[in-house]
Amino acid sequence: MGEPYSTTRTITGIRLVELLAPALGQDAALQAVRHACRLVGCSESELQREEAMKVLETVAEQPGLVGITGRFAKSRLLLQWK
Amino acid sequence: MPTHIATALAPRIEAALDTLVLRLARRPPELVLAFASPAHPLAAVLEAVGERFPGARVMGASSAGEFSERAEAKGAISLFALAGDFQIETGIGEGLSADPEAAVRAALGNTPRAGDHPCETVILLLDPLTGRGEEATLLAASLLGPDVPLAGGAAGDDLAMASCLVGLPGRTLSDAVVIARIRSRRPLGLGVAHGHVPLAGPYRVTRAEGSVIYELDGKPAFEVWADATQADARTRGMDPRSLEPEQLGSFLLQYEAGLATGNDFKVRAPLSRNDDGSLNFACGVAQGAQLHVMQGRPEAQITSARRAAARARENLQDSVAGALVFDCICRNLILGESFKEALSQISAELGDAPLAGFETYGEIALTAGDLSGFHNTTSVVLAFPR
Repeated sequence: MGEPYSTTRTITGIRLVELLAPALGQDAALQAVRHACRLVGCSESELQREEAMKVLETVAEQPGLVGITGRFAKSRLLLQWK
Repeated sequence: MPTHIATALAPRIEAALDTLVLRLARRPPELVLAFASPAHPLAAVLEAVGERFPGARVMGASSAGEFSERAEAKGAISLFALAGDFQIETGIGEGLSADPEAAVRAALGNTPRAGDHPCETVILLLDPLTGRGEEATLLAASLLGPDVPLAGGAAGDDLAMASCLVGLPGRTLSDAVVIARIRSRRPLGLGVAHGHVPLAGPYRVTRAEGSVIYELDGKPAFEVWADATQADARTRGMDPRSLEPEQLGSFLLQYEAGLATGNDFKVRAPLSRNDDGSLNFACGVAQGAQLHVMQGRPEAQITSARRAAARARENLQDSVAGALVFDCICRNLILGESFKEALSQISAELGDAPLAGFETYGEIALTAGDLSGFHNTTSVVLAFPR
């Protein structure tokens, strides 16, 4: 998973995809993050902590497995990026 | 107090209970798990276990095959009893398909962890025909936090794909999840591994809803499956387009779906086909995902079973008193008579420890660093410290 988030100030969209991919698959995870970034209005290439959380919150609002995976990923990211 | 694990496998519940009592050698169990073929009504099995062990927490599931370290059987009952210094809570949640979060919350209850038993491991058994396997697992993990490993399995019904039950004494249900919270002084050891590789694909999921995939690359999902598997299936004596209804479940479980997750594949089990050619899975699959059709060869299935046991032993960092094993029915279909060899390999890797479990329609294994917990085609081994 690369370096701990707590040591970085920003995160890439790819890191968010990595959090979602084990449950959704790489492609669906990428789609979910791209869609959420568009809705939030932020760049996929580099996200501030608040933007990353907002992106995962937006994914978590989706119905079914995508939403539950987004919620789970956010809880794990929060722990890693205090 | 040292841990003692007793197991039993028998064609009748009375015989299984008599064996378990003998092997417990007067130690009172804290937890007894029962896995029963649909040939034995699960409610009656759990009642009988509860009456024989009134001081124990009891939980169980219907199954697609039952086993202990000594043998594997169909139409039987396997029992797993845990005695020692553990605190156990069990619960049940219903309506898993309509509201998975409410079901998981109800099953978890809210008993706080005792200070003198700082470690917790949770066992989930659930109805896979709800298509909520991954959702239930991730919800439980979210509610419990990252320090609580999850293990478990999805109930079976001898490949009928009609009714999968889970229960506690006095309450046995489909569309439900049961949970055992095991509090211990030392951590348990969890291992999981699969031995599948891609046969064909990738195919994009172009239409899906919940746990139903309607189309892959714009074609009915089963048509894609039949085209992809035809040549290989013939070598196994099957023609995907002329399967008898009772052969379909077995066929689908031998050719499961591989979800590309980066460096590996997460395997997803198609359980049944609908009249429109769509496929029902044991958990949700997101539209836009890419799937491969996977296959598993016997030698890889035996190697992966031993690998799962080795991981459980390594994570335990202690000598093994015994283990619970949740093993995908597809592995039994691939291995046939050699399935017993896989069980022997697991037991040998654990120092000839006793083990019991059942053949599942899905397996659950999630530890601190994991980001997904519902599996198919795997062996999940939960080892207990001596």
